Amino acid sequence: MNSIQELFQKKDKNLLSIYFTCGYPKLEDTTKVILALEKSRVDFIEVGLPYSDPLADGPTIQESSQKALENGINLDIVFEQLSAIKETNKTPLVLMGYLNQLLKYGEDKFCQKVVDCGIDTVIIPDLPMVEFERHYQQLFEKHGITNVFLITPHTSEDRIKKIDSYSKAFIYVVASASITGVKGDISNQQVEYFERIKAMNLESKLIIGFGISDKETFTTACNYANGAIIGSAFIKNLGINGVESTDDFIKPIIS
Amino acid sequence: MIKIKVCGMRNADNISELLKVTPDYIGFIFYDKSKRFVTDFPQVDVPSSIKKVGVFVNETIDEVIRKVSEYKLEAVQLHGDESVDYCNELNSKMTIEIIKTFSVDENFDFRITQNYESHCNLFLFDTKGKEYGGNGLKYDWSILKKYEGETPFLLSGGINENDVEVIKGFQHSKFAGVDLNSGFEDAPSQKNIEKLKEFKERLMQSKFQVDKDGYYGQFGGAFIPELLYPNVKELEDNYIQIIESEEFQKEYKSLLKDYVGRPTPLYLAKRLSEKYGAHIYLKREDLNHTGAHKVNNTVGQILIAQKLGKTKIIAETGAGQHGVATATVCALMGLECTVFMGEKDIVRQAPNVARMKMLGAKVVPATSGSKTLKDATNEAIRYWIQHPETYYLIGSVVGPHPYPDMVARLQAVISEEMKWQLKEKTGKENPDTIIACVGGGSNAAGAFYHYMEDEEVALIAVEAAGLGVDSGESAATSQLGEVGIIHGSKTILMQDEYGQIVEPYSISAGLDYPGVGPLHAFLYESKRAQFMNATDKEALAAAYELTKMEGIIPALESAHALAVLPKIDFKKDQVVVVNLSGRGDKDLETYIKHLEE
Ligand SMILES: Cc1ncc(COP(=O)(O)O)c(C=O)c1O
Repeated sequence: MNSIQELFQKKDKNLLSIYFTCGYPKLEDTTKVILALEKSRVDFIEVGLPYSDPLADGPTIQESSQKALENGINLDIVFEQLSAIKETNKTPLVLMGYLNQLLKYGEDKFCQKVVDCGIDTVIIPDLPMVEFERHYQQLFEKHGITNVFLITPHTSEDRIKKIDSYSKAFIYVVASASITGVKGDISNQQVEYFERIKAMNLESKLIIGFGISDKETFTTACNYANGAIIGSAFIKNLGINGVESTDDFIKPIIS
Repeated sequence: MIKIKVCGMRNADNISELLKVTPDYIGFIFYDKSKRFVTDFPQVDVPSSIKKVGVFVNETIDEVIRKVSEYKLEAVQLHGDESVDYCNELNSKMTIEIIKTFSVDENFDFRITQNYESHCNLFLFDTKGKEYGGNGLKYDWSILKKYEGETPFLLSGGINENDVEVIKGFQHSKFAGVDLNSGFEDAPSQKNIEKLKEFKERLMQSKFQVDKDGYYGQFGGAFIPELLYPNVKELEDNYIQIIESEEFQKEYKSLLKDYVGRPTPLYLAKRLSEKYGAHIYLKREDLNHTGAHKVNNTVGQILIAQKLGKTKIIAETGAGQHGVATATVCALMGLECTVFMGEKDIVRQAPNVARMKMLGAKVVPATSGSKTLKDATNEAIRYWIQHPETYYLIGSVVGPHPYPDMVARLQAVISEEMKWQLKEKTGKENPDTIIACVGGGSNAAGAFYHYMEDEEVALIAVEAAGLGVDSGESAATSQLGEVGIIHGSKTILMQDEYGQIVEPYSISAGLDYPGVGPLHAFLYESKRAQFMNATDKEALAAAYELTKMEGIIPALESAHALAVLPKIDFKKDQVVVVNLSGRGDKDLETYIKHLEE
């Protein structure tokens, strides 16, 4: 069974997931961040693969990616880092990267490495559904990997239903028409959208992300979904206060 | 154009449906041992553009003539062992198109066909089988290489919808078309019209045109985040219909004429021609309003945006030419305009920044990455994600499908004009060579567009080599790139071993891009176009040369196209068109700096 699905069997409310960028703020911080998040009892972790041209990301994640690349991070190092903590870390990991990284690394080789690191779930924001159907569905299935799809306020109902049928881990509900890192309160319009999705009674679990930054937005999001993802806000904190401050960041959110 | 003959028809309703597919021939089988034997001739009005063919096997000539006149057939297909004399006699008795079938296998002696040549219009090479035709089997078409006759021929035997690519790739100077029958049937004689329709569409589609999934070969597609899906889908669903509508064509043509100043001249550069020993024509896109080819595209897209009900326009720009062209049409239409431009380009193309501002556009600096065109495009896409109500007016044949195709169609006016202008000046529509610079590839796409099918026209795409292809400071994508995804399109891309996009370099802001459009990736991979490159230095020298010899100051981008002239061995009297994509006003500062050097 998919590791995230397994997680949902134990807990299906108020799940907190944290996104972080590998190799940030320092090259060797990848594993430190994961272990710190595990210690703070985050439910699952999104491991961001730094990319030179992250189209779906706002300035915070862009800058962290840039910094990580300057630190010398690359896919081989990431895979090394992740397999080093494969036995110690028990928190499920989800890998998030852009399609060109997978393409250039070699699709099969990439999938094999992912699996070798004990990971079975990926998010590729620029992998559209048609291309998934055309090719990647089969590739991922062969390796036992699950792809997470994003839905947005403008995704049609038909499309959501199709995405639901393809989703084995969860559906990533993008909170608003935005890139990552746009902060603020959750508006009435967003609440309407969350309610609309909730009312569809989808098979898949729902996780809300993009623009979730603190206890308040996290709590609101959890009213409409099984959990939520915090990314940019965590990275900002990491940049300023370092890995040691992880628990101070997480605790107020889940208390 | 590959001809299509659909054979073995019998049912009137089925034939009526088939007419919509507009085959070239419809075949009726008058052979009583066939499963598709016609007893009651179907009463259908077949337009004269589609020929009715009677298929006979060793029938008496009198009976053939009787059927031809009774059913008003335009052709007969002789599918048995009819002799040369038989054909001769038939010909002498009536005027009719004769198609002679030969059943071939690896032992077939093609010399047999020689004596038939003067009596037949078309041959049909079918599979040798137990029956006279209708075996539904294929033979190895490569044996047709042995056919050296003059009479054109149709391929036949078991062709089905899976054969499109093989047929398109089939090379023989006398290959005229295909004969379709059992491979498209739901039951004997009953054709599956949908299958035929799709087959024809795929067969007729040029390999240089985007396919229904948005690909040129392996390149193209729409690799976009879900957030952009509705926008791109809306455009994809509507752009062809809009562009092909009479209303659009009228508005577009009239703006190109009266506002942009088209047609642009095709100018024979005499002194340049003398120097390089060829007839060198310059397609003067520099004389367009706003000073470059870019406006052809923005005029078209602004009309499309309006028809889609959009009021806010965003664009990216490198040299600032596309930014200016976008700001211009936005001013013309009274639409809000935001242009993203790399911080580095804002400095090196300052005059264009000033123009955009005067035109009322907001210029937003892109401060990430190399701070050039790639990053301006990233920022435009991010803004688009956050403002899905805006229309993204892309400036080149890049981005997710349908942008590359849409922009190519809008720039195609360049080669459309070249055709009649060359005809006027040289007596021939086709030049020997067309040269254009490639950043994203839009001016080249426009200059190549109507010539891509004509393999006799050499297409030369010139990329910017910066300080030298191998210097580490270059934008020669085809030489340095590999298959990858940039800005939503699978293409050739400069990247490192981990797929991180490499920052390109060129003195010319309009060529400073790490990818090329998917059409160009395909032209490169298929070797239809030759890719050359020119360094900063060579481009500067070419710019000075054109200025001094012809009194034309070219844009730095266009100077790259001119810069390959000394590298090509022209034959005397060769007709060469260089697409002069833009003028050099915006580059004066750079030129002056190098003048002093
Ligand atoms: C004058 C001129 N030529 C060429 C280009 C390169 O673009 P493309 O390859 O799309 O024609 C530009 C781009 O800004 C330009 O301004």
